[in-house]
Amino acid sequence: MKRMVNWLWSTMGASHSIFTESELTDYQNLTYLSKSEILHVHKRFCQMGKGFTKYTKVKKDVVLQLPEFKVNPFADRILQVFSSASDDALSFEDFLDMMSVFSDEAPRSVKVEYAFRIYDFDEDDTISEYDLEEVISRLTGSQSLSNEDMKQLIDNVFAEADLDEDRCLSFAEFEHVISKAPDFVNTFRIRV
Amino acid sequence: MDDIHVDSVSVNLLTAAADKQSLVRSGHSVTDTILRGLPSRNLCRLESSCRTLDSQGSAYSTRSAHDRRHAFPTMRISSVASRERRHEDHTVDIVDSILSTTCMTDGTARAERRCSEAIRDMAMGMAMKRSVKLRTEARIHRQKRGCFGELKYSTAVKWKRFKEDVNNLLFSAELWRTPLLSVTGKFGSGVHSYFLFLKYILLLNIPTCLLLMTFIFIPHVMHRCTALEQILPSQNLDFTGLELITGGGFLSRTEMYQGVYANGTVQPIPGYNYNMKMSYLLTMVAYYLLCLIVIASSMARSYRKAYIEKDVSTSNAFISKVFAGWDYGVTSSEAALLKQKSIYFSLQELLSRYRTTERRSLLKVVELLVWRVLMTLLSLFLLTCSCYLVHLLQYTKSLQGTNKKLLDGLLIPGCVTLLNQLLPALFTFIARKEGYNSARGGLILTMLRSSTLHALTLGTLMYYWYRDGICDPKKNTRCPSCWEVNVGKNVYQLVIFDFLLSLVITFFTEFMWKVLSSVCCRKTMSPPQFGIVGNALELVHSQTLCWLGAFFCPVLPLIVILKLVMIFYIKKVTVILFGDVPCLQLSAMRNCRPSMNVWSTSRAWAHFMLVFFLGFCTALCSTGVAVFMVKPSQGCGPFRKQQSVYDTVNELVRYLMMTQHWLGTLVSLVTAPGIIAGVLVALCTVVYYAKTLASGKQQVVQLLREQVMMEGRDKTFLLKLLQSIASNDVSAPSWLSCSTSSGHADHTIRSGFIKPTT
Repeated sequence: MKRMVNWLWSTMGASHSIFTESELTDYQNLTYLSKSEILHVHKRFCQMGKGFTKYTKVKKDVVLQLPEFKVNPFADRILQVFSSASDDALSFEDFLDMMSVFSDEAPRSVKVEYAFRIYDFDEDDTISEYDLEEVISRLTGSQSLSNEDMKQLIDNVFAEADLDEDRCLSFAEFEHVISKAPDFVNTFRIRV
Repeated sequence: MDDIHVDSVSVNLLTAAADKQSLVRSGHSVTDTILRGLPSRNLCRLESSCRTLDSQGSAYSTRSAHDRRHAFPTMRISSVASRERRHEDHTVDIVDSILSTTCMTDGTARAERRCSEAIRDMAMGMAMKRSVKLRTEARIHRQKRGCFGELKYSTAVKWKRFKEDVNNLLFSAELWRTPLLSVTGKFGSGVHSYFLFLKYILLLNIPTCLLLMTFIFIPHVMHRCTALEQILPSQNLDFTGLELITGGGFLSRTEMYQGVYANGTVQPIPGYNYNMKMSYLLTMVAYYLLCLIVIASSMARSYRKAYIEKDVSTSNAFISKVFAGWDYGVTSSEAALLKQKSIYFSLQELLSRYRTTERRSLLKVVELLVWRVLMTLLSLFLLTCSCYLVHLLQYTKSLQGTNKKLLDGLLIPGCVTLLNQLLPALFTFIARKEGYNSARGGLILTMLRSSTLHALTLGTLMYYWYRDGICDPKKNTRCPSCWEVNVGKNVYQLVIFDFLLSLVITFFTEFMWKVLSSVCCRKTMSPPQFGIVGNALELVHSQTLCWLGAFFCPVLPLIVILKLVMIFYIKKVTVILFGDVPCLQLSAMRNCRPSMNVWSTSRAWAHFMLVFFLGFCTALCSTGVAVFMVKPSQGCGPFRKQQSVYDTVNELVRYLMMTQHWLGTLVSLVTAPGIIAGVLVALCTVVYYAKTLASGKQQVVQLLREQVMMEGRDKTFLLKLLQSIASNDVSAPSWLSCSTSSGHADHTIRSGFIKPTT
């Protein structure tokens, strides 16, 4: 159904003049999106501000105004992870990358990898106690857990996931436990 | 000896590390550098997964595209490492590792595609991917491709896409998704599980109801319309509206009841013969079998989720809440707030299971035991009393015979429903007084007692209803002409009363409670809580009635479907309007947490399913009695003039023996007791085997976990050692001799990995 709508959309109105055919094929090969989806992502990208083209680097604050990111407690982390130049801006390719990872087509392994980076707040390549606390406090929002509860919670997470008992989750451990959470793939996606 | 050995190891590691100066400067940076250099934090995943690819070799082509993708290496590059190393070196490294795997350089189209998929699956930015792709392509030798392999591959990919599209469609067409989300957001997963259970029962009823409709109800109605045949002697009966409650009057002459159906062949479409008797029995068998299969499979699934997967010492409840809890697709701020609230509640629920409980002294234990025994006796007494009450009512009624007064007829269903509505509340109270450590124990007990109550009262009723069937008209003049219609009518009355009474009770308890608590005594009364157990039991009870009556009243599933839909909306409204909304605003949440803070959803589900299954068994037993032991009415129904309903099967076997011999033999074999016993024994053996296997695997998992832990300790040990050496503290520290003497760790290092044998 979705594919059909996309196909109709792409055949009826959209001009390919923005990208050359080889560019489009290239994007298609490097992402999990179809050609029409790539065009749609481009449209969304350009709609974020006046006069935006595929060469614009969009500031983070502007991207955060999108409804998908406005309510997401991890939005700043997502943008940080996907910003290739590690500055406060997102290029079109970064945006496309992001949408590709959050698409339905992206396999679990890729999603797990990016989820790990998003939850790794201090970027030391492990999820430590600090990271966990940050994740949980962002998840619960205005209802904050008491200190005891938080400590108990972190202990329990480590009891479940920290196989080698070093009080931090390496990527391998994270991937191992997330494979037992069947909801993960369903929740880790954003539809454009 | 030890020191020399450690020295040589550390020298090797040191030379491998990039910056020697910094190592000398501080011990910490040594550990950091080495940690970053560890294979597990770099490209090792690529190598290891390629190794598995090689070993799978020839079997590879038969697997679907989906599996293939997952067998692929996802290039994992430490973000720290990539920041520190030069971009160029990195790309070369990656290209090397992709090409080093033989499975990718054999030059076929498939290999090329796999290669490009491997690049796509790398978790890197687009620019990096592009440069890797260019370099890789430059080094691959292109060859002519076979068109067959291409076709096969593209078909597999298309099939996978199709399946995903269908899944997406199903996901978006999910029944009641938004109301359920809002309920979850507001009240946590406990209340949500009640609504899911309701939805489950509804979804179970829809196909089974369709089955009964297509093969029993519709053919007969069509037959009646075309043949214009009056099946029962017509009495002039007007429609007064009361029939909808009693199920009597003109309704007793419609296809609602078994007694109305013809026993021979009917002609739904003129010219086509349809054996009503056979079809009635076979459809009923299919109906109960379908229900059994669905319930058994979902019970097994919920049991596995709640108990077996948890038994392995790692559960994943916290992980899945913390890391897979947020729905990235949420776009409205309201939904996001609800989601945060629901995550908060479910985390609280999870934590409440880990709260510590204090020990009791011996005297207290004895006191508690005596108290519990007394309470159990009390509930048994209540059970007996309610049974006796039902018996008394039925007995006086059977003495009076069939009387015409409407209210007398409605007395029994009213009483029975009232008993089944009120006693569970009393059982909850009793269980609370029994003082169980976990509220869960008390709740399970309540559920079991209440379902026993259901089974016993229904059993008593059934005894009287079936007694009419055994009644001999020659000796007793009061025998009803068609007892099947009576049974159907009674069950229908029970279903309707159940619905009406639950409405009234919902109104009076929840609405009045809410009014009282918000108007006059705000301090003493907390707002009403949604009693999940009680409500779930009500659902089970209503479904049990449906199964009980379906054999005598084939449209009952349809009525139950309507009832469930109405209940869903009513309960949703009451929960949202009269639930503990003011509480949530007050945020002083001592009294009014959503009431199921002791349940995890999967556990609750497993218990619901257990009671549900018990209800099904009750209904099945009673229907079985009707099929095998009770003599059908001689003047009405599809089974008239037979000694029992089961005679139809014998008839079928005889008929098949004459026409198709092998089929007849098959049917008679399947129904033979010897064969059934053999199948049972075989099943038991399989279960025993599976159980042994499971326990063996559990042991292996335990061993492996211990080993992983030991490896972790070894790592920290070696790192500490290295750190002490780097900070020029060559004299062996005291903890060194201590740790190396621990035999187990030493042994694990030498013996290498334990190989799983099962």
